[in-house]
Amino acid sequence: MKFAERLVPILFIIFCLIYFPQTFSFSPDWRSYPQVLIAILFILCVFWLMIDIYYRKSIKNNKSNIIFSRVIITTMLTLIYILTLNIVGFYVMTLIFIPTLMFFLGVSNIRLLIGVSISSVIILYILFSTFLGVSTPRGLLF
Amino acid sequence: MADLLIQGIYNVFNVGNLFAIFIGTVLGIIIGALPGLSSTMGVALLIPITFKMDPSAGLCMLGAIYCASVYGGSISAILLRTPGTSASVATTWDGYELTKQGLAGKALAMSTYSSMFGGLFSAVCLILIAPALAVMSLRFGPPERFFLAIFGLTIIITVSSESLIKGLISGFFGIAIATTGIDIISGNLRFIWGQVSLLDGIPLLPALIGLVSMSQAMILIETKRTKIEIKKNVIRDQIIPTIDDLRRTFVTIIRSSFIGTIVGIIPGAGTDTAAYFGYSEAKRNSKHPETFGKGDIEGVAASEAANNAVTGGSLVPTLTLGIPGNSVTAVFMGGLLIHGLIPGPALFTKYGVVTYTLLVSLFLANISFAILGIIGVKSFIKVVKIPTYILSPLIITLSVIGSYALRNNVSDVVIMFFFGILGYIMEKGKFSTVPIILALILAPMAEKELRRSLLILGGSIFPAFQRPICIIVFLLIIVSLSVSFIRTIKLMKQSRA
Repeated sequence: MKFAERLVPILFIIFCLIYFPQTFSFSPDWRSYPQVLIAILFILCVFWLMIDIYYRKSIKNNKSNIIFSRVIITTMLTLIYILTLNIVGFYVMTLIFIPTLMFFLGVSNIRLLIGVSISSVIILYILFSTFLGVSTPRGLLF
Repeated sequence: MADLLIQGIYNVFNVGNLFAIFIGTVLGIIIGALPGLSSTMGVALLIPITFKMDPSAGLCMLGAIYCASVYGGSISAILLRTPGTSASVATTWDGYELTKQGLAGKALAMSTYSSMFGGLFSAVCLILIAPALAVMSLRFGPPERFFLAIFGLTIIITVSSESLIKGLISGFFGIAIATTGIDIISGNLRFIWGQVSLLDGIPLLPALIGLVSMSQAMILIETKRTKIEIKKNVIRDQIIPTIDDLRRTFVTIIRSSFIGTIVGIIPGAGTDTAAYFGYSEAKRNSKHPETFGKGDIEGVAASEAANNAVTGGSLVPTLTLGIPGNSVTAVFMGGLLIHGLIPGPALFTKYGVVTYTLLVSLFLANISFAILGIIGVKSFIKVVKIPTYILSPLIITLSVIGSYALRNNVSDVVIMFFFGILGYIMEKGKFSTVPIILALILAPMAEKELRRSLLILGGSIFPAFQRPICIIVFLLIIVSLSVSFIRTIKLMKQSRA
């Protein structure tokens, strides 16, 4: 995707503009190392954008099958899931997250939604909490 | 070495280690067979499962996942013309043609047999080469280790992307963010933005899981295509290789195993490179090259032997020098570091029992996937039907718990999320994320060794060029950058023409 090929260097340029001023708070003896890295990254990104714009202006963007609403919904739901882990608890949030995401991805079969979410949580509990003893985020609930 | 090898053999037959190899093999075949997942993702997602395990069992499981997932890709490649992993693309060319001719069983049998042989061959090479190379690495001082880290970074940057500039952009971004945390010399806090969780730098495992797994979960759901349809009775013949097939493909399998092992040892070259190379050499040396691509069993044997032979070869630079052979071993190295095992001579001395247990376990892993692959292929192929709307939420959930498990810190999960978004955008823009993973591993080592070198050499790196190993590695850096520069120029000329 042409847009994404330009978005990546633009994001990295923004990263450089935010991070470079931070380096002036470092010890003078050792600030040059991160400064040089960020400067090289900035130059490479600007260079890439210039040659991409110059050489590819005649190339048409191919029609993509990507449905961005699916990506955005998945991203937002995942973020909400992560931010509420410590408030509600991992297993309860997972029990809500999995069927919610599946529903937004087009699944309307209630049995499938409930079946997959409950069986996934049970398996995760047995594997991580019981068998492996791995801690999970604890909240008000479970 | 012999006594450690014997201890390793004894240790691998421990019930816990055998169980770990079995579970790793099953999971690896499933991950390999599922299109859209990769060996790298499988190892990344399952590293957290190994935290609480004994290091031997944990590494045995990861090794089994690696070997089995490379093989597992051939199942969907042969039956569905959809390679489960990039390593199996070459297998589709002849494997699916055999399926169309009603000979899916023959193709599966040959892919299993040649994958097993390739994996065993490279495991033998690993046991023979690695200890010697580890001893040689004792002669590496800080200047040598610095240049080696730079070589590791350049070779991955130059090989992993379609363009040198994109690879350099990914790499330099990775090196820049790898400076996050406490400066080891001055004690300065760099780029932590007031977050205590960043004092030790960007946590490797959450970043890795985000870039590899979370981004893949998003790629799986971005289109409406939800699942793969499989024809009934797609396997109609026996899943057994005939004596004639074995005789015909014997030389091809040996050649491809050799190619795969060498390709694996070269940092940066992956299983797909080995598979293409093995396939093309088999075709070139065949008496009937015109049959390749039309259902020639040698084509299946060549690509599968080569891609599985990479597994042992790629662990050679990883375990001895700390330079990952490919993206899977980069992630694997993260697993080693998390268990407190530092690549280098100590792995073969102080931690020799654990290391030799891993090396011996690769033999068992290769044999296990062969047995399970033949017995269970009709079951494994059903797994391929799991729709993306089930797979994606499960991968996200596993990514969340995997990121949290190491430090019990939700900020690690947030870091995983942001790297997941970044990884997705980079995949869409065809920027490889592998240089970032490698930079997070190698850049801190490079900086540390650079500063030690400057202290030893009186404040300048130039005296390092009086050391023979430094000169050799520096020349390798120049060669790798030049090769990639020439490749980029050629690609630009082709696209203009």
